[in-house]
Amino acid sequence: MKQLLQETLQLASDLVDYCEIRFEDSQVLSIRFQGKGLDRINKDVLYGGNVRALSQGGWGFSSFTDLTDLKESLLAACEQARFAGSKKQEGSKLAPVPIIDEEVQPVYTLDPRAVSLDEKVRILTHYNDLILGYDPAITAVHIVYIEKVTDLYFANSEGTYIKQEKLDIGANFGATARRDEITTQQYVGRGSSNGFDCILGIDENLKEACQLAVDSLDAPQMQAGVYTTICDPAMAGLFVHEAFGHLSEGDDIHRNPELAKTMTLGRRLGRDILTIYDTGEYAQGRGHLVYDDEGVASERTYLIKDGVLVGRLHSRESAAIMGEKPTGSARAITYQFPPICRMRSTCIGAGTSTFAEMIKDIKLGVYAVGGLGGETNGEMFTFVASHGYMIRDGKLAELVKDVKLMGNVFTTLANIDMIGNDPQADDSAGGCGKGQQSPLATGAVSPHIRIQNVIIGGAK
Amino acid sequence: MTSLLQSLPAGVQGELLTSKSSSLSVTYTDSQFEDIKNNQSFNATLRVIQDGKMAIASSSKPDDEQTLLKNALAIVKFGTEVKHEFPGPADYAEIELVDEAVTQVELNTMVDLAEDLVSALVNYDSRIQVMAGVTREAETVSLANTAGFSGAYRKTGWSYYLSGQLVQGDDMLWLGEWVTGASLRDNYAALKQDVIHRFERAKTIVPFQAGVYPVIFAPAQVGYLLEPFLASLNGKAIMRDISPWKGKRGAQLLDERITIIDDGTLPFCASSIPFDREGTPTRRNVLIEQGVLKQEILDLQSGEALGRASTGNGTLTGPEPHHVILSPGTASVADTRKSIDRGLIIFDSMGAWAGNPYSGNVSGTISLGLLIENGEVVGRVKDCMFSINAFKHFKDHLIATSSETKEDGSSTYPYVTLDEVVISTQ
Repeated sequence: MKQLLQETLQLASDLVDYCEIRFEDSQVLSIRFQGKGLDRINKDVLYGGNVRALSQGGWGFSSFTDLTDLKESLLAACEQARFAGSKKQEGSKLAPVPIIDEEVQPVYTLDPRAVSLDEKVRILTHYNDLILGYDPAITAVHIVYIEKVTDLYFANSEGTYIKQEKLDIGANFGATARRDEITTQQYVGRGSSNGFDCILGIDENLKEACQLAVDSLDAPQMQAGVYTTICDPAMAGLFVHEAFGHLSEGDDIHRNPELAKTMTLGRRLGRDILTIYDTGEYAQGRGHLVYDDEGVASERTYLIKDGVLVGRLHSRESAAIMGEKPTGSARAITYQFPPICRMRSTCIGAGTSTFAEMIKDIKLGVYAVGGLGGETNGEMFTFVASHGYMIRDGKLAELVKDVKLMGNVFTTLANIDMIGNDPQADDSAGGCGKGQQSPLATGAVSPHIRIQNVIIGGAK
Repeated sequence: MTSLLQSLPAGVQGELLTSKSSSLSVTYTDSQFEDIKNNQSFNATLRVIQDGKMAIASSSKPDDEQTLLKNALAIVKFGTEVKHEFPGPADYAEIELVDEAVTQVELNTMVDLAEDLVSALVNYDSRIQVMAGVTREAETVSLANTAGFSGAYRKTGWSYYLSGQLVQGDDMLWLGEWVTGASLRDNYAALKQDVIHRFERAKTIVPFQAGVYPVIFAPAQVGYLLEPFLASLNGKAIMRDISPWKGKRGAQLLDERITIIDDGTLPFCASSIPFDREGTPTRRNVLIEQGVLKQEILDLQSGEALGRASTGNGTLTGPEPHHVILSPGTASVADTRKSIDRGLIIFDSMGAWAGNPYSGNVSGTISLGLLIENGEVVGRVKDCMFSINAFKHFKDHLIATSSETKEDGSSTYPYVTLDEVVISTQ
């Protein structure tokens, strides 16, 4: 493969300023339980590649599924880049990076290929039976297990060649309770880049989720209002992803001078206690990355340090345009897409507060638990908790359901007034969406955080 | 690839879907030319049934029959228990899905069109960072099974979008529109006018207080409001015993002005196909008629479980609607707006898709909402969230559905005006 890619790249040398080839061969196993039992089992092959070429600042991109089309695809991408470049005429900008020649083999805690399909189905069936048998009110399960093993090849016209083996496991275990016309759902999520063992030994977590689903049948809907809110680590991880991670993506910032002004490095965005970083270094999380999809080594990138904006997530192009350093954040979801600036594992640095200290002076507030999903448009964000508890007079009170938080990014960051000393990782099936590239494997690590004046939707 | 079906071992039923597609797209970002992309893709999906169990294998690698077969047979003993068989030969209607003019559009023409879209918005306000794109696609799909079904169709696709971001300090206003279909659709002027008009009305920010208000939801938001109904009508949810509408066929569930139809047969519509993923011909299904539940959304498996025939909505993941239509009303949205003393019109929201659809609770951050006072739009509201319960609001708090509708490829919706919508804000 190395020889094929490097020889083909030679054809681009006189045609464009820069050219790269990415090729992937992925084996995907997915097993789903829905209702009362196994609903779907798939074994899929994702096989294909692309060529990306840059000429005079214009990009051409061509994808293919037949390796014999590689040369044709390269010439098409080069021609498109030259056409695009003739429209831009700005000159190509790519930040310099070291030339790499490496093969990356992960160290697994438990290689899923060493676990038989019989054993995987047995384990998942055990969880299925545990959920269904927990309580008569539990009427259905929803289990998703997705395991993807990829051989990823990358070569560019600067001489870099990288072959990476990558693992991505994402799993969700859901319990649905129903009484008459009331339906509630609770989930347990797991995910890993280094081992099948991430889904083992979760019986107690599942029982807790089942009990919550049953208890939620009688829980009131959240009352709309503005509350002091404590987010658990999963919810805080979702918050930092939606509220700030997306806003830190360099390709959006460099294209928009006004946004670049708003996001000027050195601007104070939070209190001294707030530190946020994004990293590919956590091998156990789904956001693990050794090299990104431009062949750039991944790193820990500080975005906010001691409350001050200090960095952002860059591709080679966005870094060059903004005069900053690439951060190994250029990622593509499959061979059908070019890499764009994305998060890996986004983290809030640990603080010093205990949960007891956070809750003790809240007269009326909300403890939001378990992040189900969210969305942002840059300035505003929404994220959804799996459930919540009212906080009354400094103590946890009744369970509430349908807890959906919203806020303005800048106000909310400034309103984080306490950060816990208890960081935890949160990984599950699903992932991050940007453009048409969804769901990309990402992760989060965060402690509890307390935010003042959070708007929460719901009944009146 | 059909030889693959012939090579299945005795006692194994098989179904093979192959699709081959190509696309060419032009993108502008930051008001400037960004890139050209062309994608060639192939996919073959084999479903097998053996001893009452079904499994699926797929591959994007061309001419990879042996891997497909090996993978499917390796997992089928763990597969889903099914009682249905693959359907035999069927007569399906030809639907107009190919516009040869789409395949003949030159790259230069696509660039000129995208440039024209960008220029319109830049000329309106040069501070807006404009994004636009144009894509043409062509796809060939064939489906065959060992029970004798064999079908194929071609489809073209043509889509374009225009959006912009206006950043003023910490205020970030995003908005945009798109058009998609199987034929060349010349709505460029209307698209430009619509986006510019919306920017114009959103420029002034006005204060707003939390409370309960009448709200007009624009067609692009109506899908979120209807999701609890579509989720509850889904045969798989009924089969799984999680749908609150299980056993409610014939019941008056919603306001009698609500009629919801799913149609997979509309000519030149992006979501139309002559037969579904399992070989059942698509059709027009009236799901809710004048508020009464008439028909669930079914595939072969859920149909069999409920003792009914598939409604032509089969996909690999269960039954899904094709093109959902909410019947329009008689009053124009302008007339309804004039009747509102104080309320909102919501064009865009975030997070309304998230949550448990079977509860009926739908809430979202209002990313583009305009304040109505004394029947007129007076400016944009910020940092607000709406909440409704779809089951309750479409039964007891429906003010109107508009006479105007908008089609977006997978749906055709009017504006929907609801009363008693909870708005939370600081």
